[in-house]
Amino acid sequence: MRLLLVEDDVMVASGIKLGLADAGYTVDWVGSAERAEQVLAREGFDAAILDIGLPGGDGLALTRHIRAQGLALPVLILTARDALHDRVQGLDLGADDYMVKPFELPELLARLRALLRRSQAATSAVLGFGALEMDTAHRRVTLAGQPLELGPREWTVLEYMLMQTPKPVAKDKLLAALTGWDKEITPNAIEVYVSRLRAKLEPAGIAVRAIRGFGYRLECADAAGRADA
Amino acid sequence: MPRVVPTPDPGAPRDLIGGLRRRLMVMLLATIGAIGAATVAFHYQGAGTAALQQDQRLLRLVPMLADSVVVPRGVAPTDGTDLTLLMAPPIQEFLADRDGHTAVGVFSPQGERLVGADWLPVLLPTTEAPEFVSVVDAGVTHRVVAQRAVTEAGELILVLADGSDARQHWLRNVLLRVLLPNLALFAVAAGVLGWGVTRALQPLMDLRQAVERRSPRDLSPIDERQTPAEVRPLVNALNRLFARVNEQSDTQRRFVADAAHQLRTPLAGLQAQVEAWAQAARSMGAGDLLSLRAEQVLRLRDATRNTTQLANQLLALSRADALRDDDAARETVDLAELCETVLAHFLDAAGARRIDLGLEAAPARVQGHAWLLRELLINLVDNAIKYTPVGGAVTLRCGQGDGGAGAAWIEVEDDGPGIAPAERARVLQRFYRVPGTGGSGHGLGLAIADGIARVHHTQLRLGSGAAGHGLCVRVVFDAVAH
Repeated sequence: MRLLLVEDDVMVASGIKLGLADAGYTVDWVGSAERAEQVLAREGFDAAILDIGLPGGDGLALTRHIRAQGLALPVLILTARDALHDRVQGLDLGADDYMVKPFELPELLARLRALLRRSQAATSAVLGFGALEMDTAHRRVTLAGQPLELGPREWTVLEYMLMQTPKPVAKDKLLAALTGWDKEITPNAIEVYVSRLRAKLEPAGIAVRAIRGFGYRLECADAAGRADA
Repeated sequence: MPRVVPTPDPGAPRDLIGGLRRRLMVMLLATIGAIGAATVAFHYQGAGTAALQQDQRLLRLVPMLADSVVVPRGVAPTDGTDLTLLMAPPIQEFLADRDGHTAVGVFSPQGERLVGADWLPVLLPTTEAPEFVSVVDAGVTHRVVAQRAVTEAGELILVLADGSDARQHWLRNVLLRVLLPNLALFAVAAGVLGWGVTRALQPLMDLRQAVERRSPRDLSPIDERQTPAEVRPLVNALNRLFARVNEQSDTQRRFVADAAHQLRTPLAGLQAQVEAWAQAARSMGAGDLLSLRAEQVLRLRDATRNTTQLANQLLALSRADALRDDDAARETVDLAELCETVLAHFLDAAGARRIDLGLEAAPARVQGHAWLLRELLINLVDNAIKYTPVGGAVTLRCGQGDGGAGAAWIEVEDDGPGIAPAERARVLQRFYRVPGTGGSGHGLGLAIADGIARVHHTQLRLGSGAAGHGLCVRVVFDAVAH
């Protein structure tokens, strides 16, 4: 994955670059909007991370430029100003997400993963989480490369969870999705499908965490460790 | 937060008092002017009546004048050129009374001047009806009547002129007796009123000067014993405002000092670490690598996160303060949705401490500031997760009384150590931490939540958890939409 980082603060930029490189991304770093426009015209990137306060045109103008060029890559905006109108303006101009500085690296990585997953799902129809891959076009699920057998209701539950991750999926949503299969479905029935999924996914280090009063979320088995890392 | 400094605008009070004086003067002088004008109009009407009376008197004299025309014996009565006037006594009286401002004339029906001064106009009334004109001669306006009359010398036109025109008299009268005294009265009144109004407004001007002379920092109350009773309510209001601003700026100063002190603690840790490395780096070459112990880096990260959190909390506090009296930007906030968002936000943090973070949400809506309410809930949940032991439980709840029509509420319950009833009021103060509390808090979380609750015209209610331990924080919003 190749990312473009546009940030004029050297400390912030080198920190992000180091963190992203450590997570396995290739990062091209430029310090101004002008340079960013030049690089974007020449090279292809999978996503861009833009600072709003930049010398030579701000990140919002750059976002507008990117969309005006017809580039569809996901754009994540970094800002020190979190006033509502700044965020709304950024998203209106075509940014896909924003983060308020200062932020924690794990959160940046999570947001980036979600952005990349969404942009790829739009083209490839393959949802992934850890060792799990779901090809919605060919209705195939593989776990660590091995095909995984899923019932139609288990498939629906897993697909919803994969689409939502890292956010939890509400039990109500699963209920609504499954009423297409069964006329009368009870919340308990969902627990049955979830526990079957758990049994199939746990050996590969993927957990389905129950969130009391809300629903479920896909997590890596070492999620506790990761959140603290 | 914008500081409230009462900057005296030098123009404003002067304009205020000047405007007051101007208004008072205009009103009083306009009244006097109107009374004067009414007097003049009254006199004018009187003069009109006098003029009418003068015309009538002149007309009454015409037959006398006709009688005064005599023809010497032997002259043909129709000739008329040789007539003489033998003035009847009323005519004599008329001529004598008016100081030579009167004249009589006799014209032939063809307009030939038989008797009379040259300035008398030639008037040829065609009927028996009299004709009145005004003629100016030598600066005197004469009222002139001309009428056909049959005399001894046949039909003639008789003219009587009275220079003592009532209207002229009137003008002189009005000038001397009405207008001049009125003008004098007006001038005197303007002077006296100006002086009186200035004196009456003096306390206001003194007050203005007292306020103007103040430095922006001087918010001590104005001595109300030295102000007249009329201004005292204003002075009282000013003093109350001063007291409020004083209190606010005291709070603000204390807050800034506390905040700076709080920021120093994590910054000191950071600086100590980095200084130590810089020390080591100075004795090393350009390409040498500095080795760090893993736990050192983690400590450093915790210190920076701590600083960031403090900065965010300070920002949230100042925003809540800024919105305290602003109900305009409110919108309908779905509390259940808000709880879900905040729950998702804390899943990782709760998971890391194996805390069972749960939700019990019923549909609930409230009028408020969405991002402030989110901040409120985030601070409550953050607090709950921080102080709940590993493996504990934290529950977010929301709902609305009376099946969705009553008061909406949110609640965060944990099974941590809880807060003793004696401490509950104090934990809402900024930077207050319960003695003996560990962790990395700044004593701001509950203060922020309470500040935001107060923006929404409510407050935090602290209680114990359902099982008798832990902390349960509840915010009940007004049932009525604002």
